[in-house]
This record gives sequence, structure tokens and C-alpha cells, in this order.
Amino acid sequence: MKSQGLTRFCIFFSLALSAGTTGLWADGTTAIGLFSRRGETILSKEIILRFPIFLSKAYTRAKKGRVMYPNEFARLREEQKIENRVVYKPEEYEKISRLIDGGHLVTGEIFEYEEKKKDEEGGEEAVVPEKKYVYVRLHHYDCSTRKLVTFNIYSQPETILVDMLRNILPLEKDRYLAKPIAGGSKISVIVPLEGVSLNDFYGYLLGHNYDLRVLSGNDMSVHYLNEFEPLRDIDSRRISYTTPKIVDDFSVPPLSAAGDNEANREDYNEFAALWSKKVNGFERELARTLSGIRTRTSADYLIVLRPDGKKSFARGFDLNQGGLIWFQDSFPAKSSSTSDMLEAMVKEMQRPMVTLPEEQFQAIAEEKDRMTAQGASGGLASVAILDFYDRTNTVLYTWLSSSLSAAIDHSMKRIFEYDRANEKLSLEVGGKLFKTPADVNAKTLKEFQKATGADYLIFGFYSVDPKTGNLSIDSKVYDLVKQKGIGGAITESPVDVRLFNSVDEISQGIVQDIFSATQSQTK
Amino acid sequence: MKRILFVLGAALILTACRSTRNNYVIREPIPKNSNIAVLIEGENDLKNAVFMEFMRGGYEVKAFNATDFYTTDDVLDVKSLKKTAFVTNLFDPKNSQRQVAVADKVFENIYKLHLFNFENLKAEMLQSLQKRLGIRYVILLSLSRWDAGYTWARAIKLDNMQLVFVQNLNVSRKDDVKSVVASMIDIMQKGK
Repeated sequence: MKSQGLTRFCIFFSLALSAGTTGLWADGTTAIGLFSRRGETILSKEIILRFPIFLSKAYTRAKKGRVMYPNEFARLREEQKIENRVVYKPEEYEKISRLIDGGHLVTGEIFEYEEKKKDEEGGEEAVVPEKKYVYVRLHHYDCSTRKLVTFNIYSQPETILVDMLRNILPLEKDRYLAKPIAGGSKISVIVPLEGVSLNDFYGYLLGHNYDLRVLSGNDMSVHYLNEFEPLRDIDSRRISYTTPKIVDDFSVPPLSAAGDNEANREDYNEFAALWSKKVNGFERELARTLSGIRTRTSADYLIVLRPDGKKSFARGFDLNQGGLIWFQDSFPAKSSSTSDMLEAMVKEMQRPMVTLPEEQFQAIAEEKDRMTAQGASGGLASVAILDFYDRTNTVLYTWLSSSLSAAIDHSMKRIFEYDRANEKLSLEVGGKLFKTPADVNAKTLKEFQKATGADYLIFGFYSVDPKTGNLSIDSKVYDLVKQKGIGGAITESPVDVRLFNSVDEISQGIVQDIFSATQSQTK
Repeated sequence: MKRILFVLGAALILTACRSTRNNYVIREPIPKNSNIAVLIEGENDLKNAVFMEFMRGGYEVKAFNATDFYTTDDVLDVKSLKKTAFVTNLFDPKNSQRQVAVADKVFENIYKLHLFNFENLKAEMLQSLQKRLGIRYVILLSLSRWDAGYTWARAIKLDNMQLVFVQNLNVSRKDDVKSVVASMIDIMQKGK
């Protein structure tokens, strides 16, 4: 307005609520949990294996805290007897919050076209698009806000991993903005303001060069703040922002046998249809309504604002794509007054998300392509595990030599996707090249790599501590491409059932070493 | 409580806004001879006074919201239709009694869609005026708080619901409907 903006926008509630805050970066631990999949495809395996690595790499670069790998999270989860799920119940999230120090949990669902699909008559194969796509639902739970953000990512197999990173990386505490809604944009606004203050707000937006397409205020009716509260949780085609609920019960309740008569059945069918449309089909229904608004107003965005102190929130929808693109629950406002809140909301609507520079995403994409091209079976690392050297000087523990390598292989397979290099060939070549520990050097490692094609080599020694009688296992991990050691650990254990726990520890250590090595390659 | 706060807030707005005599933003002029509909709250004599000013200003004023002896508020309170008594949030994660519920989920979603659809349908209804009556602009005008010392107006181009004019105007004892509406029309036609 001519008298300049919202500073004159003179709304002062008597409540002295403190201003909202902005959490720019989500710090702390981000644990990676279950990624469900429809089948054991190479692509789904690659996503599950590579995503933690690249997320960790990206978070390190963006200084967004530590990534807890799936094996570590699984161990903590199992200790607390929490089930393995993609989306948890509210009380389970509370437990998980304690496990990961109030950090974040990322889980997902991978959907792919099935390779072969029979049509209903069982004859010919159904048409599968020539260019296959993959659809991933990525769930991010923030223990501090108790909110679940779900990204629906539809991409090509070659780009899905980087697209997952692109989506999740900019996420801030209770804020996400897919793209800034800058001045000049065509916007429609729904906001609970009465005539004069709505005019002032519209004047403020016009002053910032927004092209307003009127929804709120196209008649004399007024929304009230409380009417907006249900819009805080929104499921949409692109992004959903919700509070976790009890999900098991979201199905149509069965029709009671006692009330099973024609009239009741009719009512029930009507309700079931409504359920199907409004629960399962909510995202579709919402997209249809948003499309209607787009048709009528030619606006590109629909903005819903609830300026109400600490209870404020903003939601923005892309009317062209029909999905949520902006959510924010706290604002860096000067005060909790409606005018300051609205001013902060408009500023936040224009503030871009902080993410990695594009060249870093490109570097990650190239690294991913390189990893995919390496190794056997479509990019999974090839790992050779040799028998462990027996240094006990007694025949009592000879059996452990091959048992340890088999146990480590078994244990690693539970937490890490890889291909074990040809066992027979590895043992044969290893037996010739590495007769003593002193034989392990760059030259022999290179020869071993050339002969077996493996990316990593694992072996070690075990001996008995004469004082305690415990078994000491010294494991080694080598990067065969770089011909150097990348890790290892010495673990001590009594020779009883506890030995299996030690094997698990060794396996986890090896997997971490391999992860760390792959990360350092692209840093 | 919310409503009380809202009313309180609105009252404070009104008081504070008096400091400025006349605030407006206009995106484009609304030329004479344009077909317009004027939405105004109030009695029929007041409406007539306003319509006369617009007609004197050279506008083709279409009879909308003034086609009978009743006002909208008398026969149909649109506001009450919208207020579906959604007083409390249906889902409360802290209250086990409010957690489950397929039905709650259905109703919650219906409410959300209702809110968006309500806005969509209002726009659709207003745009139907363009097709049926050839109306190009809708002028919303509130003189109901004249006693409190302010009026406001808003103009919407129906082609795409674009907001082309907003104005908040403080009124004094010297003002009358004629002078206030005439000054609004003057701005609308000059476009600056």
C-alpha cells in the first residue's frame, strides 16, 4: 500500500507470544532404517546399498550431522525389540527417538515395474513401458518435531539415487520449500483475515509484485484460525507432511453381522466407497481440486497461511503439478503479532533452501555411475574372504580357520549387499600369494585383484591369549583397487557362544571400513 | 476463545488503521462502461445509494445481490453454511480415544477437501456471473463499519480472479456515502 507494507499493518494481539524460530539445518544423527521393495532386483539392491553411502557423503559435505548406517540402527532397534517397519507407530517413534538421541530416521519404499507381467488371461505379457521408471517413497521422521515428511520420487533407474538426495538434502527442521515463490508469481491465498486486514495484506503482497488471484476475500465471508488447523497435516502427490498415526487401523471396518440387512449393507457400501475416495484417494481428490483452482484463476501457486503465534503454519501448493511444495511451522518473526508473522511468512516463502551446489550433485552422480560400472552383478562390490590364519599353535582351533570366514560372510550378508568373489578361486590364489602375513603388499594385492576381479579382500589371524584363554581375532580389510589396507580390528572373545557376537562385531566393523573407504574416494 | 481473539484483533486493527486516511493499491484502471457487479453488505437504501454512484460514474451496474427486497443475510447466511462446526481437531495423538478411527480419517479428509473446494466453488460461482451477465469486474464494498470509522473496497477481474484494486479508507464525520464511493470510483478510473 502507499503507506508501505505491513509495518503499518497494525494488528496487535494482546497475547505476548514469543516469536517463532527457524531451524536452518537438521543436525544430529540421521539413522537409516528399512527400505521395502517388491523384489530382489539389482536396482533395489543398489538403492539400498548405495543410498546410505551417498547420503552420508552428502550430509558430511553439507554439515548436516552423522548418518547411522542400517546395520547400526538395526542392532539398536533389535536390542530394544522394536519391529522393523517402514512407517512406525507413534509410540515406536518415541522409542526410536531415544535410540538416536532425538535425531532423524529415514526409511523408504521402492516400487519398480515387474520384469514380466502376465495379463488377466494368463497368456501374453502385459505391456511394460520401454523406458522403465522407479518410484520411491522416502520417509523422513524428525524426532524433535514428531513430524513425518514423505517425498514421492518418480525417476529413472540411473538417476533415482541422486534424485533421492536432491529431495531430502534441503529439508530443514519443520520447513521445506521445493522452489522459492518469488515476487511476480501468480498466487492465490487462503488466509483467515477480516476485510481491512486482508486488504492490507493483499496490498503488501502487491507491493512485492505478486500477481494475486483472489480466493480469500472474493466474497464477504471470513475464515477463522481454528478452521485451518486440520490443514496442518497434508498428504499430497509430491510431498506429504503429517504426524504419524496408528496406521494399522486405516481400513474399512467389516460390516457387523448383527446389522447385516439390506439397508445397513447399502449404508455400509456407501461408507466404504467414501472411505476409498477420501482416505485412499485423498491425494487424487486434492490434486483435482487444486487443478480446478488453477483452471479458474490461472494461478501457479496456492498459499495457505495460518498466522497464529507459535501455532502458525504455512502450506504452499504447486497448482500445475497438484502437490505440496512448501510447508513451514515456525517463522523468524519479530514478534508473534499477526502482521509480523505474515511478513515473516512472505519472506520465508521467498527464501531458497540451502543445499549442495549442483556440481557436487554431479560429482555424486558420476561417482555412483562409476561404482555401478565397477564390480560384478550390476555394481555391487565384490568381496573376497579368505580363510583366517591359525596362530594358536594347537590343533584344537584348526576348524576355526574356515568357520570364521564363513561366519563373517554370513554375518555381513545380513547387513551389507555385496557379491562374494568366487570362493574356490580366491582360496586358491590367496593360498599361493599370501603364505605369510609379510606377503601382503601392493604387488600381491594387485595380482590377487587381477586374478579374482574382487574389489575388497578380507582375511585375518587368530590366536589364543595364554593368560585368559580367550581367542584374539585380528581382521584385515584391503581395498584391492588401491592396493592398500583400509581397516581392520582386533577382537577378543571366549571360545563359547559369545564368539558369534564377536563375529557380528567384526562384520559390522568391516562394513563400516568399506563404507568409509568408498566415501573417502569421492570426498 | 479463538473467535474472541479474532474479534479483539480485528477491533485493534480498526483502531490502529485510523491513522491512515486512505490506503490503496491499483493494478489497472477499471474503465467507464465496464460491466460490474457490486457486492455490498447492508440495507437496500444503502445499496441504492452506492449503485447510483457507480452508475453516475459511467459503469454498467448489473443487478446482483440486489434483485429482491431481501438481503443475503436475511435469507441465507452463507457463513453458517461454511462453518461445519469443526471446532476441535479430530485427531489428537495424545488422546487414545481420538487416535484410531477410520471414520475420523474420512471426515478429516472430507473437511480438508471441503475447505479447498469451498474456495474453488466460490470462484466458479463468481465466474459464472461473467458468462450469464457479462460481468467483467466484481467490486466488494463494506460500509457496515461506517460507525467505527472505516470502509474498505476490493475489485476483482473475473477473467482470472485477478485482484486489481484494494482500498482501506478511514471515514470522518464530514464524509458521506456519496463522497466516499465517489473517491473510490475516481481512483478506479484513474488507475493510480
